[in-house]
Amino acid sequence: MELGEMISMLIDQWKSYPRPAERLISAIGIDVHWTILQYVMGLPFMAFIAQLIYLKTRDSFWLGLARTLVKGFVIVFAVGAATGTTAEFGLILLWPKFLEVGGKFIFFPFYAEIYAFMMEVIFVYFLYYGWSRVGDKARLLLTALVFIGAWYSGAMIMAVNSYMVTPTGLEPAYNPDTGAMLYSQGYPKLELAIPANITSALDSVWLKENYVDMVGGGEEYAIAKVPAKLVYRLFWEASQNYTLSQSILWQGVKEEYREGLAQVSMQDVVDWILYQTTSVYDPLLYPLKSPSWPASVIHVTGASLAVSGYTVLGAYALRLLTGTASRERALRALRFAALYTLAVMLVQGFISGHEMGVEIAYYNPEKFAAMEGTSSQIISITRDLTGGLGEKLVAFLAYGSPDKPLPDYDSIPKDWCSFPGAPVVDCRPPLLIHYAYYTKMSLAIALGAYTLALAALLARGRTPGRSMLAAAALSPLVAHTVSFLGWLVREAGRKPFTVYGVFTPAEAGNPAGPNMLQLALVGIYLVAMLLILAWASYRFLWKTGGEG
Amino acid sequence: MEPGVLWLTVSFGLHIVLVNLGVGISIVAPLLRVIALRRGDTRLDREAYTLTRFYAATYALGGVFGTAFTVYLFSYYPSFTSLLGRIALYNYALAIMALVAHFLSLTLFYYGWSRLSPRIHTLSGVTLAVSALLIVLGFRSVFAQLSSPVGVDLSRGVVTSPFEALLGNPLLPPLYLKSIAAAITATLVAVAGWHALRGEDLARIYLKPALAGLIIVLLAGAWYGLELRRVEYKFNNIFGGLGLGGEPSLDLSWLLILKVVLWGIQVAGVAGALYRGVDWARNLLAAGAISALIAILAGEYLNAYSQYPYFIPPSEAGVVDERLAKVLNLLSPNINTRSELLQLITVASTTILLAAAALYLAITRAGLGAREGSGRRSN
Repeated sequence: MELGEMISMLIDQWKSYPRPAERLISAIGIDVHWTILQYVMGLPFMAFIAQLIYLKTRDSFWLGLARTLVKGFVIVFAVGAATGTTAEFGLILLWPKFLEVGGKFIFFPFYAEIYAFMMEVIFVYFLYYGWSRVGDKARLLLTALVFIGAWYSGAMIMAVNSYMVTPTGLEPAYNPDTGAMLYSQGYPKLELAIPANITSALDSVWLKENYVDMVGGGEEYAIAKVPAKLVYRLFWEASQNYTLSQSILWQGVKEEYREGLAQVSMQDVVDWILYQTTSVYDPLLYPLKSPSWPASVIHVTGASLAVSGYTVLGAYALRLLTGTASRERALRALRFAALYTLAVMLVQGFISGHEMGVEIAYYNPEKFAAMEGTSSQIISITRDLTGGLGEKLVAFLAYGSPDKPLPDYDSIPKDWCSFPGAPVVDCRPPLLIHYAYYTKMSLAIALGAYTLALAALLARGRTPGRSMLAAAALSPLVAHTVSFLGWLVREAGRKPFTVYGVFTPAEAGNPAGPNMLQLALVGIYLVAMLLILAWASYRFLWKTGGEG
Repeated sequence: MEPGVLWLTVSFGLHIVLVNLGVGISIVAPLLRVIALRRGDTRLDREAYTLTRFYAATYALGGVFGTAFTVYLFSYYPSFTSLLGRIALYNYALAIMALVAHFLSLTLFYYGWSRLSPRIHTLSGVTLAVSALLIVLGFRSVFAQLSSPVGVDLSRGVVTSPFEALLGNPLLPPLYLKSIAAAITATLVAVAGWHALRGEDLARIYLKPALAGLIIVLLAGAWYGLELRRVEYKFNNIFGGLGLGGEPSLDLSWLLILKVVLWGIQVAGVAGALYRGVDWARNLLAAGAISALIAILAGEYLNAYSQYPYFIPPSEAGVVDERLAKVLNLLSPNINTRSELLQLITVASTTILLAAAALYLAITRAGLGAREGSGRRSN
């Protein structure tokens, strides 16, 4: 395939998923929020460490550094709260049906996050306005409460996002031990609890023919592994206000139940199944049982800590380059930031990043195949540029053996989730994420190597040259790019779905939402606001913070 | 009481009082700043800065309770939240876009006090005030729509006429005027009372505008009351107990009487201070300040609860099927929220965090007594 043809194919595939404009505007809104949020999660932790060192050494430099960091996150915190509110209302306005489902069945992390947000708000301002009114230990405690609040908040939001990536009870469609694709047997499947009044009305032969496996249960419900394709279809039917007689389920309804059940709403059927399922798993903890949640939380928190570290590193490198601060203080701050960031990057790269990759490889084989570009339709970095060595390395990292096969993208049925009338034509994630992922990885490895070199230099008491400092000054931008690409791969990687295997943006969106022009105007407005924020940060943090 | 209703009531109450003060300060502080710049009056400039600092220190606190309200709404009433997102699309869009501009304006206005040129700083003050007015317009149009929706099709959950849905509700003009006037007046009375308690003569500058505001609030309130006749369910619940309407389903006339009494105390405090001096009326003015804050709460609860237990009064919702009727009813919450553990978590978390918030306000005196990192540079 020629390059031009390949690029055209990649873009067409990207655009083929439902509601591209709404997805883009949401991506802008959420990414603006995330850009700021990383500082709220990372800077207080750095301020906490600086204060710990101050308590040990009583060197006023560390308290000064902590105060500068606190000042930094207080300014961005208010705007983070504003963009969070925007993102929240954006969800309500653009994705009301997602919120309805979320509110019914996976509300608890959002609910618990409110207390995290309250914790942040109270203790961020308490710390800032009470800085000189409380003692050293109380200040340290307040700083700890600020970052704990921010991490707690992040963990709760990630619970919802992890559920969207790997819903609780998911069984994937790929067996890495044998290399078998299981789509023809109804996989991927979701474990659901189906109320007895529904199972009793359905013909067991029909269920078996449609790959619904009954695996247990009790008098009130049956536990069943239901093909994601069927789950998605039921959701879509509910969104179209179908009755049972219009549903695919009607084929399986026993004769004696038909008369009484014909007009039952599919929305009710879906609700009954999900209420029963959440009740069996636990109404509050259901989304927290998503298998990818723990690794996701650590990885995302690590990303925030890294971006914050690089930002501090970049700021002090710039101070050294421009000579706008005490050289000695700036060098000490630079050394602190370099060592801190190196530690974070090591954990990110070797522990949380690896765990995240293992989870994806197991639970999201379609996404894994797209990330690794195991398709003959594109030039694959993993396969074509490494002579096959890359695939073996990836298999070793993901499955523990270089001989296990990676899922072949081209073998995944394009229509594995589709059905007549469905708004989705391609059930596979966009191959474009292969390039996004490898750009991310390349930048992350380069950042890690650079940080190692800089930290080694500073640890030996040497002063970095101008080119090293210039690289440090650029590092925040690179770190933000890595973080952004990570999210891009995560979010685009489960397309066409909003919640993997359950529903897509077509069902989640607002049936009478804004038009393209309105969305474009909102997008321009948000970007303009972000630019004003960047200017304000420069004006109030950079131009007045030389002494910090 | 349904737990969902309880938590909506608590979070809304805490939110709305702080928001009203915020709206008031967003208009009063830039005005004071402009006057101070013109006259070269450093005392007024300091006053404007103090008010802004209070707002900066409490803004997020007000915001967080607003977010809590939204999350409670979404958790306890997910189907209604979804419906609201669809029918109030343009109203919320206006409020949110204004909200983003408001945050940025506050950041510029507060942190840029002596760092920006007077012209740019004044401009940030103007955007602070204008964005506050637009936020109120967006949210009040939602309230008007919840009382008696226009330009929407509830059963399909869609907006049929965006302009009508956003600005065409006949309840909106009096509600908006009343809300803005009440927010500014309550702020003026509260600040005057605060100065009076501290024995500061500065209280005087607020008195005349506050008295004018109290009169406007009364007139706007009467106008809103008259317009409410078109929403029989609400009107009866507010005025029915006074013999002015039909039989109330939930008699809230006592809340209306309370509001009038609180208004009277404010008038007495302000008029007393104006005509007999601030020293003479110190305690009365302080009582007026407290009354102003309670009056905000009483007014908002009166407006919201007068359609209880419905999000939209049945008479205004038109013909609704059984499903929609359930969605619009506060007594039909999400069954997954019927968990004792959830209520335990809510009570414990709320109590601990409110105690922490009280400690914060006490130690830092809501930012008024703090010497925070940035400090203030003299002009």
